[in-house]
Amino acid sequence: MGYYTHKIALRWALISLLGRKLTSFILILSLTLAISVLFICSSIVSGFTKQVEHLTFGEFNRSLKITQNVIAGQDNGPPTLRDRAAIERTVQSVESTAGWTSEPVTMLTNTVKINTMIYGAIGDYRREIDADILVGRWLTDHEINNYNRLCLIGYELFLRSDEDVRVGQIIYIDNLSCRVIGIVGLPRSMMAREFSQSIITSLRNVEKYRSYENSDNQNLDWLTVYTKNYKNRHDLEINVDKLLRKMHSIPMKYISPYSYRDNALSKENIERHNSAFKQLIYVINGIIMLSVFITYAVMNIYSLKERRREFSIRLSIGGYPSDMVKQVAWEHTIISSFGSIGGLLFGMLGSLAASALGGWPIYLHWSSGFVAVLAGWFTSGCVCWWVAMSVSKTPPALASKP
Amino acid sequence: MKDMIFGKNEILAASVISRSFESGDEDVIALDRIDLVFQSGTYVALCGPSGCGKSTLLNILGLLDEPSSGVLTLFGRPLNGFDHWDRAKLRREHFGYLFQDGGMIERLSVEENIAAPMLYRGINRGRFEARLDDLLNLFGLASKKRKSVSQLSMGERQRVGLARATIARPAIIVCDEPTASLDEYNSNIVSDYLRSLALDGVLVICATHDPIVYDKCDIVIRMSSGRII
Repeated sequence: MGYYTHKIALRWALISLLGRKLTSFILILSLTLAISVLFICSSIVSGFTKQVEHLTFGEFNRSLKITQNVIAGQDNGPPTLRDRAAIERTVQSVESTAGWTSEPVTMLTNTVKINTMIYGAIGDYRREIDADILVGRWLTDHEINNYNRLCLIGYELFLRSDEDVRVGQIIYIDNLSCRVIGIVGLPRSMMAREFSQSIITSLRNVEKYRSYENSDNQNLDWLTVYTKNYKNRHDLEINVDKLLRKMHSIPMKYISPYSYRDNALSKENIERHNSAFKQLIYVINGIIMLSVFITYAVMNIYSLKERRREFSIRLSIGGYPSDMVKQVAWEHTIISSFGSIGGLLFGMLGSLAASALGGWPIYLHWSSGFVAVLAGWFTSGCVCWWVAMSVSKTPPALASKP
Repeated sequence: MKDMIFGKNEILAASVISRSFESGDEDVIALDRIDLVFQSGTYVALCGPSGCGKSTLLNILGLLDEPSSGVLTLFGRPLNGFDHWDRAKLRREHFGYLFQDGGMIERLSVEENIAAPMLYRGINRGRFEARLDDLLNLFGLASKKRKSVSQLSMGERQRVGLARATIARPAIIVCDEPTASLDEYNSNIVSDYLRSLALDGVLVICATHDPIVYDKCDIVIRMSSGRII
């Protein structure tokens, strides 16, 4: 003689669920709702967090900005082109670098004269500008690394000039002619905003506008180093400082002549705000999930009351208490499976719909989805355990009471 | 009342069985020191007015309930100290039940209800298919075997219940008011079949008010206020 198999228990669990369509539907719906709500909220929070970070920092959150440390005196620093080359060559995890100088200049077009800034760059300059080219084109790698009298105009400067600047037009910067090859659009991040109000050209071009005192062509106003991984930034700072100290023979016991503006520190502030926002959302989420799970438990208790006679009949016709547990476990497995799939599916669709309809930034947060699924299974498991224990203790004598 | 026959075929015995229930602060005695011995192949009726303890005694004899005191003996083995698991095992091995309303599992079809005891026993469908068909034909249910039991009349439900109680060929069949909701025609079908089971060696114990049933019984036990009279 064999044993009552899981196959039969599964079949009876299915029949039982189909026989109680409304209850089963509400149970699946409650799990679906709980999981999808957490998934959608997490996706929205995640999307907003990423958007806030990007709006604030753009590419800066993976960068280290090296300037002269004014407290350390003038003996060493600011960083030089030689430092830049050494960092690129020596320090691991460096993705790219950009060296910058800036000068106040006067820009003269056909009709207007504007006092503004000119930024000269060398290397990977486009990341910091963090904008699209509106008209024309970017300076090529060759152009940015050489002298050529070509420049880009920031969008806000273009507006200040009463739109009197055209691509291909010659403008005069401190009386030196320069051809405009592109107008840069509005920056995506706050930290790139300074470029929008300025002229951008190659480092070599800016040297022409420098005063005699500043004319050391090796010096940079700042050097930006991009790391491959945001989490490496502290290591990067240590490695760069070690290298620069070695190059300039500065022992570790002296204060560093370089200042490292770690944008990640500001990022940590933003993260604190984001964390508070996330906590609020998760508390709301927790309340929603708890309510739904309580509904789930109550529905099961109510349903169990209705089914006590059925289980007593099953016990009287040859079922063991463990057979009842098997059937109940399968019922909950089916409900949890459909609830989980439904929750993830509706969560994903809901997130995409929120993004499409409300224009909300969404970043599908699968790990939260899976945490919600686990929470759903845990709740279902606890309720299942309670129901199974109750069912296995059902007095079979109830079968004789119609 | 015919005399009870005691002998070597004794399979079930109740010795000084009592059962009381708590009702508020006081105990209500439903059964009071019952002594009974049952032999295989006997058709026994438990009669008496409502509330006399028939169903309580039947539940205890059918291992659906436990006595407050006294000893129940099955195949010469006292059941003292048997837990709910052991009782479930004995129910599976030796008992079949027929309840007043048929005791259907409402969401299952006719054939699934009848087959349920075999499936709980882990017997493959192929091994009892022929017996299932025989029972369906015997009770005129062949054309309705795939119907849900909730679509059946009371007489049909009772016939399904009877088929389910007997499919595993139990040694003891316990019936609680099996004909209470049936017309005369269906009552006769049920009672005749129970009679034939007894002739085949099955112990059939029925709690009943129905003369159609107890007229065909070997033994009629009359009860009043929890006692045999």
